[in-house]
Amino acid sequence: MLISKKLIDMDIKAKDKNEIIDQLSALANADSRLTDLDSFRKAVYDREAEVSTSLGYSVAVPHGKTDAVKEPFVCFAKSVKGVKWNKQLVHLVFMIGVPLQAEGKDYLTILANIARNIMDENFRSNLLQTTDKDQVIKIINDGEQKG
Amino acid sequence: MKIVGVTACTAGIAHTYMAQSALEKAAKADGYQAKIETQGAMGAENELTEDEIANADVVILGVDVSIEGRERFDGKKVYETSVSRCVTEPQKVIEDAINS
Repeated sequence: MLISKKLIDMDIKAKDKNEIIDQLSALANADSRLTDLDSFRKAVYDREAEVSTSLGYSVAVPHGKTDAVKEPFVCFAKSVKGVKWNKQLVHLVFMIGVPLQAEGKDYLTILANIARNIMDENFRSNLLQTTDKDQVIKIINDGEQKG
Repeated sequence: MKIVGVTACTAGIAHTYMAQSALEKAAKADGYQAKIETQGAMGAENELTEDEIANADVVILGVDVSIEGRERFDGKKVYETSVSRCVTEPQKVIEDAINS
């Protein structure tokens, strides 16, 4: 499973995007998804420095493609108040970690479907409305199957 | 109006597909036909056929990296922009591409 309850924060408290990246990286690390917390964080920061991963729709999709990832994953965080992500106010964060060398492409297909679903208004509003982690997993997984 | 395009971002895991979806949704909302090929970490998907390219009025390339098979669009009206713009303002990208 790319996502698990341990990778979800339903009301993240953070003052900026770096704090969100740090907190979500810690969740991924605690769930044994990483081999090296610091180099994963650095990969995500470096990617953010290239171009912000917040491109409107109240969503940010920070990601790291690095050998510091043992198991591919998606962390999900919601900020009820919203967090300033560069110039955007962000309420939903999907942080993705994938290893440098893709072994099998199943999870890439799932990630691609999640990415496409993010552009769907219903998908976003369902995630914004729910307060339940199981429901978050269900919404994200149902989206997966739709393709 | 028929639109074809290709999206490709650096990591090829998220924005390539967000841009694809954004362009297809925006085109549909405007009453246009659009098919967008993705060149991401899985390679090329939803590949454009020769006929689709031949019949397209305009080609949109939302690319941050160099893509495979660019020569397929030789002689077509090609509008190139960034992946991020396709996500943030897909409607505007389509409009600009048509008017380019």
